[in-house]
Amino acid sequence: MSKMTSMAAVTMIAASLFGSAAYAHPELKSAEPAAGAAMTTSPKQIRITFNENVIPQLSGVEVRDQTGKVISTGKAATDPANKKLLVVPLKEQLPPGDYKVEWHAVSDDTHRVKGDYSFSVAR
Amino acid sequence: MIDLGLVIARLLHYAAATTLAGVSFFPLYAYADAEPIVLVRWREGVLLAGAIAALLSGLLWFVFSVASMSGTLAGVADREVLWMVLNEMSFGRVWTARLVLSIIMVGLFWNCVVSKFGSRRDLITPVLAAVLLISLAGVGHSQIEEGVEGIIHVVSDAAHLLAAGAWLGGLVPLGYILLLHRRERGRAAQRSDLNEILQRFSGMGYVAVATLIGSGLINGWFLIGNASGLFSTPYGQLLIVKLVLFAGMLALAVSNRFWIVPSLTKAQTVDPDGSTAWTARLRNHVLGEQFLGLMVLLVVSILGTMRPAIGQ
Repeated sequence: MSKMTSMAAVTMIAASLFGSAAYAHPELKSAEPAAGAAMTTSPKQIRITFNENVIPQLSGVEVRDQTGKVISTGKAATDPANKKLLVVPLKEQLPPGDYKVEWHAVSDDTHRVKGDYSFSVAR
Repeated sequence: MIDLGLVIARLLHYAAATTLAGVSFFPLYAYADAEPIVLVRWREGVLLAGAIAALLSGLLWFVFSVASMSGTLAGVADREVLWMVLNEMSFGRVWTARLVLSIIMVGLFWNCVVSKFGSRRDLITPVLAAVLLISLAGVGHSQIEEGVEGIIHVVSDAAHLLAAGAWLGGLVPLGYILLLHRRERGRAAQRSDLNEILQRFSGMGYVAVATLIGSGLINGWFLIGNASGLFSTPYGQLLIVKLVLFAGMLALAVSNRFWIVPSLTKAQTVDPDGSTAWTARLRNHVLGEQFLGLMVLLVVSILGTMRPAIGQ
C-alpha cells in the first residue's frame, strides 16, 4: 500500500512539472465582432476563437436581431489553418441595431457547450 | 431527456463492463485449486448476460452521445453527423472498436454456454474484459489534456477503471458463493474453501483499493485542480458524494477483513454450526458494498456528462 501511495505521489509530482492542466470543454476566447463591440459597418462573418479545436459539423451560431428574428447564416466551418477558429458567414447585411450571438461548440471530449454575447451595428 | 438517457446508458454500461471484468478476473486469484464446476457454469452465464448488456448499453451510450452533441435526437439520423463522429472523432473510433469487441465477446461466451465442456482456466476472457473496460479511458474527460499530461491521465484513468472492475465486479461472484454456502449449509470441505476464497479476495482488495486511491488522486488533480474546486463547483460537490460512498464501501470492507472474517473462522473451529450468523452478516455486508458500488457508478455516470471543475 505505501509503495503504491509513494508511486502515486511521484507520478503526481511528475505530472505537476508539465504545467497546469488544460481547461476542460471548449470555451470562448475571443470573437469578431467582439462582445459588446459597436460596429460601424455590417460584419460579413462571425469569427469565434475557442481555447481548443472544435468540430465544425457540431458547432455553430445563431444570430438574432433585437426583435428576436434569426439572421440567416451560412455553414459553420473551422479555419483550415486553425481548428480553434470557427467561422460562420452572414448571408445578409445587418441593419443598424443590437444583435445577439448564441453559439454552441463541441470538441473531441464529446460535450456540447453553449454561450451567448451581444454586439451592435451603429448607424 | 437526452441528458437523462445518456446518464442511464452510461450507468448500464459501467455496470456491465465492471461486472464482466470482475467476474472474469475472479478465478485468476480466488481459488487455490480448480474452480468448482457449478461456479464455472454460473460464471459463463453471467459473462454472456454481461456481454449482451455491454453491447446494448454501448449502443445506447453512442446514440445518446451523438444526440447530446448535435442538440437533438434527430441528429442521430443525420448521415453527415454520424459519418463525422465515426470517422473524425476519437470517440467514434474508440466506440466502433468497443462495439466490435462486445460482439466478439457475446459470440465467445455464447459458445462457452452451449458447449458441454466447462471452460479451462483461460486468459482470453479476462484480457478481453479488461480491454473493454480500460478502453473507456479513451473517451471523455481523460481526453482533455495533450502530450505527456494526456498520457498520464489516460493511464491513470485506465488503472482506476481496472481496479474498480476487479473490486465491484468481484463482489458479484463473492456474493453468489456466500449465497451457495448458505444453501448447502456447509460441509467441512466447503467451509475451508470459503475461508480460502475470503482471504484471497481481501488480498486482491488491498491492491484494488490502493490503485483506486492513487489513480483517483491523479484524476482529481486533472479534473478538479485544487480544494476550492472540490467545494465550490457542482462537479466537485458531486465528487464528494462519490468519495463518501467510497468511504462507506471501504468501511464495510475493513469490518469484513478485521472483524467478520476472523470471527467467522474462529466460530467454525469452535462450533461448525455456530458460524452461520457470521456468514449471514458477511453476506449482508457484501450486498451493502454492491449497493454502494452501484451508487458510485451512478455518480460517475453523471460526473462524465458534467463540466469538470478545472475549467470553471
